[in-house]
Amino acid sequence: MADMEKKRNNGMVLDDGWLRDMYKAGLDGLQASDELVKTTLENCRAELGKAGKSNKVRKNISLRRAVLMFGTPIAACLLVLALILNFNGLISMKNTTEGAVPQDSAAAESAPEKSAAIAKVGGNQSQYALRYDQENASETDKQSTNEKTAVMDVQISFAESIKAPNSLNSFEIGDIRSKTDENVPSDAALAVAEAYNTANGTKYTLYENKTVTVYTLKSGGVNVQEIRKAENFDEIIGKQQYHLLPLRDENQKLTMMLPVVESAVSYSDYSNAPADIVYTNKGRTWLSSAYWGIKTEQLNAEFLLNREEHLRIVKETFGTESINDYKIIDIQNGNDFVIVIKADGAEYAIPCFKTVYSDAVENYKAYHSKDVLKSLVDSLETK
Amino acid sequence: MAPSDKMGEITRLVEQYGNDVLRTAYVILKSRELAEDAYQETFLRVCRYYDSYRKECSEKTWVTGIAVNVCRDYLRSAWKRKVTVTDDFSVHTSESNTEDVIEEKGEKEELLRSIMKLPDKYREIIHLFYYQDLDIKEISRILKIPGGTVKSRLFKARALLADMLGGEAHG
Repeated sequence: MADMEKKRNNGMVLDDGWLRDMYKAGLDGLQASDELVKTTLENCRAELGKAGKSNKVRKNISLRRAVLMFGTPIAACLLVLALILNFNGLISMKNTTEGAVPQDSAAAESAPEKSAAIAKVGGNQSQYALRYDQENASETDKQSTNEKTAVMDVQISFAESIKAPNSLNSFEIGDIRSKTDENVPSDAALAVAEAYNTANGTKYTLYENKTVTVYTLKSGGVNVQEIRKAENFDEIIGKQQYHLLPLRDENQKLTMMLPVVESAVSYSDYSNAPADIVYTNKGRTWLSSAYWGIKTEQLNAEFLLNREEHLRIVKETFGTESINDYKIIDIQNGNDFVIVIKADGAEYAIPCFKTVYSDAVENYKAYHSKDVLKSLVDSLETK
Repeated sequence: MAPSDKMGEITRLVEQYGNDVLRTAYVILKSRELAEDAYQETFLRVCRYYDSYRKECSEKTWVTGIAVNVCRDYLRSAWKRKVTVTDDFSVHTSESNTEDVIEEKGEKEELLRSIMKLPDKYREIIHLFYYQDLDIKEISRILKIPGGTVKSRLFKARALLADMLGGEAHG
């Protein structure tokens, strides 16, 4: 600091050499862990294996097989093209490929009485589920038209995301409509999971009936002082929620949880967002990302999703009888969670931590909320 | 190239440029966790496009360019725009607590925090120029903007940094 003061006094804070050296030294401590390198190399090996296999198939292809393979799709494409040209003027192609968002009110009126339910990954415009819902078409079109302009108003809060050290932060979510009393509809959950698989080449299946709603902390995060002052978790949670879709691998192991939110605005421009997963149906838009799966390594996700087990533990530990409230709270960007249960006029908490280290409380056990809050303070202060 | 040779090359690239890719992603995305995802995605793309690398630019510029593109894809996502991940950007140094070390750590943290507060377009320029030691032409190639724009952004970024740190920019 003294060096910087000296430089400030001399008006020489930003000479290139100093900036370069200090900046490089500041980033020095950030290194790829052995595990990250190992996982990356394994993924690369798998990628090269995949590429090798597809090359081999291509090399052995015969002319006859090529005609069979490519002739049919080409003929189908030509047929579709002819149909599109035929119907041009009646159907706005953009409406059917980008969800139920008419380009203008005239287009909305001339569009067929149908709205498309589509889950797709942004950049490649792949379409995974296409259903028609005649009953809700008019309402959907009207709503979509109203919301069309709102798409441009999505808040970009990333640039202001620098927080003080020693604080806890959850995902901060912009224009959402997710409600605590409502989970992701099964059609949306299935379509989003399918879109995630297609984007990542995975074969996960949705762990049905295990989708949960997760609360987040106050916007901007909470610092040690705020946590110390809090008597219960209600004092540090915010107003936003997201949903977690649990995904199981081919061995039925729960390996991934995919956050999903219901977007409060319709969403039509996918061109610059190759990883977005967007599902629109009956005027509602669900949003996730192909990049955003929460890996369940080091986090007992089966436990996290097991509401009955949480209630049983609290009942067994404290002899509670009537449950008044139940919440799962994300306290650290999808890494650490606390299950909060109110029963018989008291509040209890079960830690489900991955990165928070505490000697005072153990994962998967029930405590009075105040004890878990104190353990969070200790953990942050130690850090 | 045989798959085993290619894997050997990829391993070398991961070892040689891995930390730089991670730090580049961290500075652009402002999150350790996202940076680790971007790190993996970058080297997957390196695998995919390895055969199309024509050596028109240095290997470092090529890998950095892929990393920057991956990060930009992340930032463009509507989900990303809606979901903010925060990090404390503290500088990790040795456990030694001597006064000098603490002072130096404070300086580095102040600089790093100031750089992190810069708008995206200035932050990435500062990083590519000062951390990656790339020249204007290479930065221009990676960011797909004219050299003149790189120079003016660099000038503006320095001025903003100087303002934040309370001094003048000398470059």
